[in-house]
Amino acid sequence: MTAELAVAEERELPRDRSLRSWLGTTDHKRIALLITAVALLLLFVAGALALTMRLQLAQPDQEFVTNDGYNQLFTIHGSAMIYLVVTPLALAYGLYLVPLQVGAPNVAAPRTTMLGFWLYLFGSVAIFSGFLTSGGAAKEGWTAYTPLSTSEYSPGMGTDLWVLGTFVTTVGMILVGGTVLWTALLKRARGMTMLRMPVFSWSVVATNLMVIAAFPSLLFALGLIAVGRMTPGLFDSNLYNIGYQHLFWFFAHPVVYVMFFPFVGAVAEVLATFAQRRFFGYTITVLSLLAFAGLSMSVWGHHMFTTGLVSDDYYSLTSILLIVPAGIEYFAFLGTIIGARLRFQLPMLFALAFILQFLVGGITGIMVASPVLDYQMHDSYFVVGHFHYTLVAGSLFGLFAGLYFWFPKATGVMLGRGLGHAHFWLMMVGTNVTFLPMFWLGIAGMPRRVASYLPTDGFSTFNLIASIGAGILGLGMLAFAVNVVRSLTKRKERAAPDNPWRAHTLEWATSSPPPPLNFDDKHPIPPIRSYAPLLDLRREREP
Amino acid sequence: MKPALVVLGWAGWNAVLMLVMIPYRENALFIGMYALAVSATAAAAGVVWLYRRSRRAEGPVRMAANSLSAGFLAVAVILAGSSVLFGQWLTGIAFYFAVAALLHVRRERVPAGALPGPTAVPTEPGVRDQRGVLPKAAKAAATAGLLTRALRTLTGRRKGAGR
Ligand SMILES: [Cu+2]
Repeated sequence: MTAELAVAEERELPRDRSLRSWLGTTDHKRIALLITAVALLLLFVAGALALTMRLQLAQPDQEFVTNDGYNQLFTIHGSAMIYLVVTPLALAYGLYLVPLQVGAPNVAAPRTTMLGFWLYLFGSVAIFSGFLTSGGAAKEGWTAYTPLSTSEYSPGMGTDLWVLGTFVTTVGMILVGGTVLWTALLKRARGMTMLRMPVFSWSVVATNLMVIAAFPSLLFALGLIAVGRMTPGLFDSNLYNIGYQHLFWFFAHPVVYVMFFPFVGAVAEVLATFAQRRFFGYTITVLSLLAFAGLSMSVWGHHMFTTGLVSDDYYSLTSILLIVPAGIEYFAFLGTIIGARLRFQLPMLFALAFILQFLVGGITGIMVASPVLDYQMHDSYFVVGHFHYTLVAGSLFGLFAGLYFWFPKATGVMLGRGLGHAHFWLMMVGTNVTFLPMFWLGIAGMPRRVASYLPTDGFSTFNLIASIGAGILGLGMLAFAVNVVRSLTKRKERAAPDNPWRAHTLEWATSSPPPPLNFDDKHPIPPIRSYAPLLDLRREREP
Repeated sequence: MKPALVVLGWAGWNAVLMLVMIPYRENALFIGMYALAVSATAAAAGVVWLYRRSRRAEGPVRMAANSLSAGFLAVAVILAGSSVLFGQWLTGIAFYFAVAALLHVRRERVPAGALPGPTAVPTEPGVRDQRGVLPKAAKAAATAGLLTRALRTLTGRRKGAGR
């Protein structure tokens, strides 16, 4: 009784908005927003690095940046996007939403999660601070292959800081992923059985299983580099070099799925909501997500076909098998929207673009999963086109589908529609104009990670097109930034209701933004009888 | 589906994929690397199972009121890490932050009976379970029907092929 009273009084208190309360927060929503804010900021920084590269490559034989500077640009662009932007954003989505979706008052062990945020923040600072050292930032690519990354070939503090920052950030991500997984498995509300968790929450479970199984391997790989940098000659033995690649890709293939799965889940929620019906094929989608995540652990050798030292047959088989669970998800997506009364609001536009565009990334992935084709395409712009279609045309569109969808929930403010549409169309045109030409450049033989090319190479036209596309993409991102700032300053006019989209899952049953412990007397958890509890409720009230 | 079984099942699926590497003659060292990850995941399933069994999951959620200790600890970690690059003197400062973290942890405990009390949060939905005996029976009947139909189609086709 007294405890209940204390809590009731606590809820009447105004929310503490001081900086101190943010830095010492134990609320999963605030921790997730902190990660999201840092990651979105770094998205713009890493995007600016990419624009600089496209400026350099717009025409042949340019000397806009030096060769050495270009190496730093692509290394930090790739590292930041993977380690510091998309992975943290993917995990932050899970951190914000899973406790709400499963009806938990908070994430399990919030202080551990907060430690994860701090490690991520300091790791990011370490990686970027390489630019301030005399030798510049790291310059051996986000893969940091040995012996290139040893002190013989990459002397200087930049690489050291990269190793330290990546290590610390990865530890942080394991902590965030682990606590969210624990929450989904063990902190669900009564009635929220495993098979009543929304598809998004399941996608986060699959994601975090990969985090705990695959991320530690990167720590070993980075440890190996660190030891190698202190022990010259270690990487004279080829076993260490090939061993590094195994350790690295055992992490680095699954991380691509970590950067992808939560957005598959987000798109699933968006499709069901804007198709105004239950998600189609729930159980088989859940099973295929888990199978998908498991398969992704077994394909790492496909990045090493050209070493000639891996079993091409095995990795090719498992890689091509990936189309089975991917196909199931596509059927579930289509089953959800076909014949439904679709509402084409902003989250839905991004979700539909995700479905269409990811197909290009997926299919070109199956192409390079064939060793015969991979020997030809390896280290060419074809590969650059392929993974940008998965990560930008796929993940980033899914990320924005989720962002436009959940922004009102997290901030209490609707994002503007005009600028939102500008963002969507510019981003869609920009993405395809930038990355589609890269396939032809790769087939024509343009290698990745080169700072320039000759007018006689025949790469000029497609490079110019790609650079123009990058500019359009940049404008789209600018529209997004302006939209966020403008919407947040117009809090009163754009106030969001609790459930602006008529969505189906528990986070929409509480206020926007939710109270500190997610649900309260005014916003109790409704009965949970399926993975779409709010839809059940609506069907009951308006049969 | 039990949570521990989800994790264990996932580890098992990975174990199958790992074992398939053997006939393909992948280097034993790297099959071993996969095996290590599989065992770590299986161990995680064990931890989940033990936690569920201990019934601590059913007790009130205990939540710290503050998390600044995590910030101090992270500063200590990053300073200790950079001491390899910038000199050992940084470990001295890292040590102070580690101590600060340790001291602050004790101040983050929530006083008894005070905020936050998640147990008072209504987490008990009105209806717990809809699955009764009847739908279960209907499901079983439907599955049986489907199976016999599938069987009939298969045998029918075989007969057709024989003709
Ligand atoms: Cu891969």
